[in-house]
Amino acid sequence: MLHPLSTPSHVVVLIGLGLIGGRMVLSAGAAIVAAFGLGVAAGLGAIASGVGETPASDVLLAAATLCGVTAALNLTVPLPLAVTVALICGIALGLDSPPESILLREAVAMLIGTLCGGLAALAMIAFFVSTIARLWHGLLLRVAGSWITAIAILALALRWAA
Amino acid sequence: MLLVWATAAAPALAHGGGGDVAAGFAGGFAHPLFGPDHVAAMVAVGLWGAMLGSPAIWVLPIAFPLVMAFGGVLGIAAAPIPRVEVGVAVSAIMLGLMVAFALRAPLAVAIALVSAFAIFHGHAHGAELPRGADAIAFSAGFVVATGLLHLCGIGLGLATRWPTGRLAVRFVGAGIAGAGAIFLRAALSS
Repeated sequence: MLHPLSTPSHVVVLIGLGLIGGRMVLSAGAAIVAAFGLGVAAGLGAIASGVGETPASDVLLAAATLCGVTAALNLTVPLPLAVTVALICGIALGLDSPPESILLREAVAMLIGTLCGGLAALAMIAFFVSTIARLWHGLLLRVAGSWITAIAILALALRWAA
Repeated sequence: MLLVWATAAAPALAHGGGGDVAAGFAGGFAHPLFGPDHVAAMVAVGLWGAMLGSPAIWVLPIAFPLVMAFGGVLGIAAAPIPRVEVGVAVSAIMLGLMVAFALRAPLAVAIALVSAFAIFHGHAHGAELPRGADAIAFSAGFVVATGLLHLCGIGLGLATRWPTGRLAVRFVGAGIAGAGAIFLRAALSS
């Protein structure tokens, strides 16, 4: 369950997506979390069916950049776009979470744990964001958005340079 | 705090080759703090923002990391920007003078000035970022440290609400400008 929180690229995208979902009304936030969960399930399903290496980590960082810029500029995201981004993030996170165990039972447990952990983390971040959304006119969220964007851009550049 | 905690967590074994996340974050966090020219300029950004008041107090710390990341990409890509260290030193001088003389520039001018300097700071850091370090953890530490330096400047700058505090902040600005002159001399002689 802690897998999404122990991988920096996952944490960055979860915070970025939480910044999007937490600033929207409850039903829209719930739709984003649901789309993310659906995406994670699809990505993990693809992993279970033997999909090879994918550029999922780069996709996660690119999505985090998008989410961060949106939060930093305090832009309102149309719900269909936000849901699509959440779905893509979920799929990428799932694809980027191969189980560490080769035993079938443990691997399945890990995949389920990753799904539950990712969903719980995103829901908690979005809830936290919604509670502080109006604090200082949303200043904290905008600063967080700019930090997430900067981190994701630098990380992408470092990955491509390596 | 979540970000700090999470990025300092132990790495997942499934992501081999990522390096030590905690060490990457610590290295990135320390990186801006061990450059006195960077520290001076970052604190000056916060001080000037606080002196200008809303909305500059929050726009400048939001704009700086975004543009700095762009400069960082240029540095990582080894894009040639001449005399980067001179630009960093000049940023400390200019921003220090802005604070020392309590200059009230229009918001657009303040953003443009700070963003231009952010390119130099980002490039200087980007060129020095270790390729082997865990990229995201290092970037997170680096950005968080820079942001916290801004917040330090803003915190100090809030003293401008009182006449004595305003004078003290202006003295700090003069000190930063003076330190910037020393950094400039060192950069020109190197």
